[in-house]
Amino acid sequence: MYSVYKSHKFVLGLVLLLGITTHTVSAKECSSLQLKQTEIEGETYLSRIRLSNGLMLESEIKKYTSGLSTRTLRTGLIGGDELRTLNGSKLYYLEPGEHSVTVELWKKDDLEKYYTDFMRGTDSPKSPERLSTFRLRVEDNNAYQVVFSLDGQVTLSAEKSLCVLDNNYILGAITSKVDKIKSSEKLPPELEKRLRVVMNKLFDNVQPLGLINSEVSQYFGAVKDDNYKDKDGGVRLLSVLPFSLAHKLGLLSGDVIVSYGDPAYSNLTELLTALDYKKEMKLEVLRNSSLVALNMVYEPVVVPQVTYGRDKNDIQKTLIEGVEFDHELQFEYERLMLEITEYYRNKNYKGRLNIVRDNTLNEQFGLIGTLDKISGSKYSIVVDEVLPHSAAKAIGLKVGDIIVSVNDKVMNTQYITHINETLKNLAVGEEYTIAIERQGKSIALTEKFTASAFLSFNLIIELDSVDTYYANLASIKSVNKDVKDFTQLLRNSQGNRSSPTSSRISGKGPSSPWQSSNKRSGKESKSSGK
Amino acid sequence: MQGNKVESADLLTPADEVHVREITDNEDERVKMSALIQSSKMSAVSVPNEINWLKIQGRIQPIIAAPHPVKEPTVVPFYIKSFAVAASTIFLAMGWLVFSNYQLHNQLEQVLLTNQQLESKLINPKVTTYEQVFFVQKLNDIDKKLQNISSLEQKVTLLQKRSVLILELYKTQQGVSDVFSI
Repeated sequence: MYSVYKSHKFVLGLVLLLGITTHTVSAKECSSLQLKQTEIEGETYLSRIRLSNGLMLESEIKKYTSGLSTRTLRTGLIGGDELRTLNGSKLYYLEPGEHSVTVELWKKDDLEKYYTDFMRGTDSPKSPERLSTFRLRVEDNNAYQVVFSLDGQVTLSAEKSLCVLDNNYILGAITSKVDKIKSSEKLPPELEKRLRVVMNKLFDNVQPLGLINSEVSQYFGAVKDDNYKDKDGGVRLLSVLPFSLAHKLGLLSGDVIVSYGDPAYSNLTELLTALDYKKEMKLEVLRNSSLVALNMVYEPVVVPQVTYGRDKNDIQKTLIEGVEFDHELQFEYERLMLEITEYYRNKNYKGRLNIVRDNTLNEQFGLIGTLDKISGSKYSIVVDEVLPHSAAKAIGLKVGDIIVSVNDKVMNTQYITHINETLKNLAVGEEYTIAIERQGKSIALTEKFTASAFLSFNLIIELDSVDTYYANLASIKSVNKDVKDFTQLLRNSQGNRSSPTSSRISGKGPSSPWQSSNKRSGKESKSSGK
Repeated sequence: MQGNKVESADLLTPADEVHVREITDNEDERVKMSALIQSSKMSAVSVPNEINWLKIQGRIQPIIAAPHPVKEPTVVPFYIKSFAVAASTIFLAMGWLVFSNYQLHNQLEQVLLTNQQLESKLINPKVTTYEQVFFVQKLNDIDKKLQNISSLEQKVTLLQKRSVLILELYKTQQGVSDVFSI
């Protein structure tokens, strides 16, 4: 896999990717960006840009040899001058607008070794210490300086400075679309509720202001049985996740995949990474001793880029840092964003979508529970989830608690249907008691009622992330005809949405469609745009 | 009938004896019958005299009274005993393992079939409800665990938990789930 990233064709692909999005930049409308070399505990760290939208790169003429042919190209970061850019003695240029930038933070020695290995054509064991993502709101004629720390903090300083460019030496990149923000119409009730819950969780568990980068979800939604042996090489599925791509295709648990529609493909990874957007995907499976043919139009899911904050002022800040969250919230967030994107795209929304909501009361008490029949007409409620900023959280309920009674009313057949009304109709400030069992102990929780709330938020969703992804994929494919794993390649070239942990950076291998969402970072450290 | 009676010569009445003597249609038979009757009357149980009897007893008595030779128990070396015990244990363990593995394979097939049937009943929703996402998330967690285990027993356990969750997910689509949000 790694050899793919080192191929000159891939390099050319990235150059082209930058080249095709080049646009005219007026010398009067620019700012500069300087990534500062950082000293941390005596060690020198350099930062390397891995993904940018709207970033311009100073170019130079460089010759590349691939096989017998030599080509002359205008290059940006690809040029040999990269280290000078990295250590801050050279500048990147930016057009006014909003830019998302993902950078790698490297130990200087490691990065130099990595380059040396790369030029020799050998695998490098070196990888960056971490990734950081930030969104930068750029105004004309400013000089921005960025310093990163190992804990993911981004420090920005800016000062007015005349920006002069010679257009002949500038490569553009994907342009930002700052002026195309549209207000959204209301979402269907279920989506609305999920959005408000997820926003509460982001504010509560992550950070109040953040950028969440676009990402291609490679999870196909099936787990294969590695212990299954089949003389014909069939692959048995242990599980198929409901509502996933695999489920939409028609796969079910226990199916044995016996054919991938084309003898050229011997496994699902090969098939998925070779398939073009909206091409038909065909599989044959053995189900209960019968051969079943399955097919669907394949569309990898692209989670859009999102910027969020509590209000408009938040969103307009110059610097917004990338966020990182646990896999459970990530799963919930991704499903939500995919459904919201699909909903608005079906209504012909394009560009940047701005969803704004005020603080509102959440009419619900704020928990998900399972009804458990104890005996006869007696019931209890097992708490499965407590929502943030809810009355349930305020009184102190926790996952695993067993609710036995509310205000001394035992959960019986009559009462259980009215409990929601009872809890909803409590007056603000009214004292109420919930008797629970927690780890075998009986506890009475008493609290003055405070209504559940949905926090206000300002959210910008880049609906075009999907189109951008496929445009980039197509352009890279067109010049990399002998490279198979394009989806993986592009995803790695795009960087990561957040500032992942070191374990993600040093992932053990490339992603496969079998892997779940928390493993998708793959071999990111070796996938730079070199 | 005649023959039977002749075998018990003491039971022949004088009239029977006369009848046998007067048989004329088969001379051979008559001669044999007459000889048989005569023989039965003459034979008597011969009893050995006292001296011979004592001699016979004298020969038999030592044989009966003599103690049977007791075989000395063979001393089996400890390592052989250990080996035998180990071999038996391994044999039993292997048997048990094969049997339990067979059972687990059956359980795996069964739970996969159950899950397959449940999954086939699920309808892909246009908008997923909060409760449905809750279950899909839990199913995703199980998928992750499934990817990291190789033990058949653990797989079966996880897949059985999965069955319960898919059933609940199905129930939410049918509006009869025990899981609710308040």
